[in-house]
Amino acid sequence: MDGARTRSGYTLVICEKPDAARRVAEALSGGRFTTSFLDGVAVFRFEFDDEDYVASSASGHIYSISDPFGDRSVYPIFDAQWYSSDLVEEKGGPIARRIAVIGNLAKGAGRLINACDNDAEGETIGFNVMRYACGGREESALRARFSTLTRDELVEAFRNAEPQQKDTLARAGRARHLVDFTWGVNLSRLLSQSVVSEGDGYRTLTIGRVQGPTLNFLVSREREIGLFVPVPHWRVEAVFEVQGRRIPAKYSKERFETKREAEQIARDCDHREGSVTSVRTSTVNVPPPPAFNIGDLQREAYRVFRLPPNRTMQIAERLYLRALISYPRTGSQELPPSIGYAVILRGLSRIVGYSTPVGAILRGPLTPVKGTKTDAAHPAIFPTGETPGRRLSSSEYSVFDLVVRRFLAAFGPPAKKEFTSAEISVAGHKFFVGGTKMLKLGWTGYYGKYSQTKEVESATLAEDDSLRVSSIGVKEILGTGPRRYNQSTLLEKMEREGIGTKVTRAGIINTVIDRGYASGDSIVASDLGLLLVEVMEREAPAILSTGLTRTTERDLEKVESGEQKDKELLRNTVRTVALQLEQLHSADESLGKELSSAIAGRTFGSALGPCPVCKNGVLKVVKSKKTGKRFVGCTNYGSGCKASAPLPQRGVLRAANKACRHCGWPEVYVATGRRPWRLCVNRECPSKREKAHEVQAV
Amino acid sequence: MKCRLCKREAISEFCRFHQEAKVAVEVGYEKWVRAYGTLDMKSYLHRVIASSETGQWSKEIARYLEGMRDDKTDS
Repeated sequence: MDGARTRSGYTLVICEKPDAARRVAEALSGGRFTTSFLDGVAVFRFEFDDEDYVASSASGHIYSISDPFGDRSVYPIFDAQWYSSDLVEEKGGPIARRIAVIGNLAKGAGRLINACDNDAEGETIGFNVMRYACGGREESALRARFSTLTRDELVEAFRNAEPQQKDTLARAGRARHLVDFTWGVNLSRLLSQSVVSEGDGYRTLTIGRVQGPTLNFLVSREREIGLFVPVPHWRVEAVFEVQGRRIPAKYSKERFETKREAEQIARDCDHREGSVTSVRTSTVNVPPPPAFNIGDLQREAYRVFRLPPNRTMQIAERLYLRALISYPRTGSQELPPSIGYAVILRGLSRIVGYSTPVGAILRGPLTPVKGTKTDAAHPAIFPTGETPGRRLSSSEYSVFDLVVRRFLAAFGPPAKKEFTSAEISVAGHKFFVGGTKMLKLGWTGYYGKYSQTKEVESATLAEDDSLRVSSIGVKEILGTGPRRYNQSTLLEKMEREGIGTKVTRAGIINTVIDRGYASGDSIVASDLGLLLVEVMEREAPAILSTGLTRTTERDLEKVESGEQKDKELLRNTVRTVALQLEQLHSADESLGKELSSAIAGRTFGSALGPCPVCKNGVLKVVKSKKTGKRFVGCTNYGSGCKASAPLPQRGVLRAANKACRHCGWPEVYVATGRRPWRLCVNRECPSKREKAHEVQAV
Repeated sequence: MKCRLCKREAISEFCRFHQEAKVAVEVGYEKWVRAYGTLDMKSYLHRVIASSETGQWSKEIARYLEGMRDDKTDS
């Protein structure tokens, strides 16, 4: 960096979050920085390459899109603009103070560096701060790009900070906000106002271009489940006896559509002699999985820890801000050599539990496996090799360990599995005995407890061995219905269908649940969700279509690459939304009646949520024919599920559309006085036992 | 007019979902008869109601049809 101390004023660095600004100051100054608080906003001063630096930050989006009216009953809105978020979200002072502090710091700054996260959201945040808070300096500001908050990478990023080559990424980011706002605000206000006009008070009902198709996935699945009728099929299972050993075997045809056919085979083979006609062994190499992108990490964290995707994202961001892992909001499954494999591995070897696998990896060639997905801005998620300075919480440690183990696994050799299959012939019928054995652990040894390495012991059989069928039976199997989505499988479905982005998907699922359209770990669409989709199918089906939102995603990509103008995309959005509004507006009255009815639980009865006992039924409020008292019962009561619970007999009940965090049973709102209270319906809920103990102790 | 089994608007006798469930239960019976060779409607409905895999709307229709058959037998 030439021209030390010749530039007038200091360099102002703007990060996305305060923790990132502190980390930048710490890394660039080698720990020699001062912290001050201006109007409550953290400002870090330090020297870097003999120049004066000041680092401060936004706190996520400090500018949001809104309409000029500020009245939630007004729609349509097609002239939305960026406002400071405190005006939009009624957060009051903190954001206004932050904007004022940044504005004042910018006045004394000779140059500005945008050091927000290196993706569309970060680009949007940085662009808005430079334009609105720093007096329209978005074009002259430099950009520092990095994927980890480690010292070496930050120093390099700030030494190579350059003016923005093109602003298409920021334009695409801003256009995404405008498109989503135009969809969301108009449709949501129409829905909410249709309920208000029924005199049932205000209730926030939302639907948007990604929320619509997501809800539609849940409702379509709910309908399939509700209409499912199982059909039986049969399986023939035999147990052979050889030299005192009993060996279970399967018939060569896995399922029989008629009972008669299966029984005939059982009769043909019962207590007959058979012989082993062949024994085949095959080995399969199982290649290592690539390092995580954010979707893979969210799915895996759900599989092994049952962490909801949104929570995994939050934890991963915290680990990034502590410089323990790279930037998590990435779509890439590739680890480029430029990240410095050996340095990271040597860093990891200093952390308890990783030295043995790291030692083994360092003895071989360092070539991690690549996945098929790429991301121009960031590599796959990897640990930085830094040791956690202070204690991690248990969930932080879980996600950190998962990221590290997956990173190590990517360097591992393939695992080797052996499959054995012996064919046994009895009276012209074929049976099979199979087994699986792990011959070489390979990468599964590095992935540790997260690997799924199930072994099935195989019977030692040789060709021409004689066996006798000691027992044979026909097992009836009732077909299983479609399974409900959980947060992980729903995320996967959204990804497969190309709706939302890696950053927004988890939040959309949360909104669908928060609005009361669905609930539970195994997600059940609520009556309101079912009805909303029914109404949309009838009046404005495009809102539920994946096609429409996918086209918008493609257009946004074109804006990002400069192939399309953002104004053209916004014009198309306004046209489409106006058409949907027109269609919905003509059905406004019936819409309000139907939605009010569903909100009040008058439409279908009152489904509370999935049954945590049988996992398949739905818990509902039922009235006893004998006593007239209301209680909670499972729709699978007739099939043997005894889940039930008493309910308060007085007051108005409403499903809370939330599962109790202690026991997973649904919660309800009970209104007897002025304020409704929330209650877990499970009589045996651990939280109630805790309270009972407290009372006893008192 | 309301559905006989829930509070939703009926298409004819039932709402859209219970109507679809009625068709599913009837088609299901044909499949069960083919699978078993022979099976009376009463046993079929009993089994469908008892299965935890049967969907909520199909189960409600099966119960309704079972009740209708019992009423006919009683009279």
